Amino acid sequence: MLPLSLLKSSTTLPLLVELKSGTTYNGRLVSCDTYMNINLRDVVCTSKEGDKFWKLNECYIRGSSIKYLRLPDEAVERVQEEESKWQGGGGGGR
Amino acid sequence: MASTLSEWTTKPVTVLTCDGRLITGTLEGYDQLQNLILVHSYESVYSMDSPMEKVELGLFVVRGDNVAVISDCDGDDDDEGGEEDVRAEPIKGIYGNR
Repeated sequence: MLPLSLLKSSTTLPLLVELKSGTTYNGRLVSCDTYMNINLRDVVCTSKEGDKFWKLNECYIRGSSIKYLRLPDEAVERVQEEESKWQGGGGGGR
Repeated sequence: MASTLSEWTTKPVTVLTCDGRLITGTLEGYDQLQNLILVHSYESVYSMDSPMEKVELGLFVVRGDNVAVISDCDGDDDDEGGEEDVRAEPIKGIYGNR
């Protein structure tokens, strides 16, 4: 399973992104691209120390600044569903 | 020895990130940039003042830039010997701090 395909099928799911700077962004994934640039909605931004908080309606994060992402466990099931849909469509042609 | 990560998919692995964190989880997927998907993952936090702490993380996607070391573990870390607490200095990040 490719990490970028996992991300692509996780739109509308809430996730947590930690940047290389240590700041964390909690929000719902709107979209992402092949560079892992992501667009989040209804975001709570927390400082590295955990003492300052900001609320943002929307934010765009450059992929190269991401350290890691935490997703809900159901994101994996979503990808498996989509993969089986693809195979069902492709298998008919063989 | 693994020549590619494909040999370790669906196996438990421990990842050392560039900031000195140890994340253990089942390797669900990866790509050529070493972005990793870890399922049922947890962080092992070591300190000299208290026993090793496990912090549950769940589904974790690590960006390849931040991966320093990936090792297989086959779950051998988990509470062997039972009650012994393990104390250790936390690992430093590659930049010299955590």
